[in-house]
Amino acid sequence: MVMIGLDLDTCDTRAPAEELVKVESFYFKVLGPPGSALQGYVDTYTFERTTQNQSNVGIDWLQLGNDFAFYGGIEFGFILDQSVDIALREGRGRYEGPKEFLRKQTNLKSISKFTKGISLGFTALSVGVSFAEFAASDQSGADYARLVGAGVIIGTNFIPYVGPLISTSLAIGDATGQFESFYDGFDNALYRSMFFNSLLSGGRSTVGPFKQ
Amino acid sequence: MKIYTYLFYGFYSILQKTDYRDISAFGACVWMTIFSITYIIGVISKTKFQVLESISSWAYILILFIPMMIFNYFVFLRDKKYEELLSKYFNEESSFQKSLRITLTVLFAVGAVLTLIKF
Repeated sequence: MVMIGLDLDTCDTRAPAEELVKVESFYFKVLGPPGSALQGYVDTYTFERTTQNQSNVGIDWLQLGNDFAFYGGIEFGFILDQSVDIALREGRGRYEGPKEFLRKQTNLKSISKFTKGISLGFTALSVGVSFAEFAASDQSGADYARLVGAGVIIGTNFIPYVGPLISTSLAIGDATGQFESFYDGFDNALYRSMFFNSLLSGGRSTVGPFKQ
Repeated sequence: MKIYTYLFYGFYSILQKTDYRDISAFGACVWMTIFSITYIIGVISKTKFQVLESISSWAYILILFIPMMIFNYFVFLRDKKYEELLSKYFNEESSFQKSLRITLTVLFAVGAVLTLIKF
């Protein structure tokens, strides 16, 4: 039997909420037959922090700001464009003032085309970034899940009218880490098989004791 | 060049059916650019040259995206050259040719993603 004792007085346990915790030094003692105990100090040691039952997960505000900028821009382009389309079709919101160039409704349309072009560019770039990060990753199950998740978030933009709202809601959820545990679960083969089993069978079990 | 224009026309006709219909030529250029550079990323990622270890992913994409987009702009968008090219190559199409064009365009996009996964 091997036992390792941690001398907590010499450990730096004031680590931030990160995956890896670096311990400055700890004392260890390996117990064996009498007279053969091995003991000593280890200067630095890094181990994986257990994230179970961890409730103080902070919001990544920088990531959230980025996502608001990108997906908010996409949503703004669509909403402006569709608002202008509806206004032109219904004859509402027409400017009747003295400024000649504002009477031409094509000005509004050209603005909406401009914003939509920018939003399309950002969408395509974010797709490219997702692809590049996937190519650089070790392509585990979680990486595949993140790739598909990004595809779903971007793909929902193309749903008429409600698409931008759905897409932005999903993107904000993704940015605040709501789907991280869902993505990470795809590294587990059992989780994957259960997910696809329930997905393909509409929530019913097709194998095992709960087969319907 | 005809194949490149063919793919452009495929994206153009797909975008004509979405909310991007009024900027479908620009959109076709953007998606052509992204899926073209995806093939390049797929090939680079299989080599020992790991670009993303030295620069960020956004910088990596922009370095590839901007020159390709400028190229596409001069080929298709400037002075609405795409109208001339489309009328030159694809003046009359049967319904079979239309469905074949859209199928090949979708395969081009799917192939780009597959290059990342399996090469």
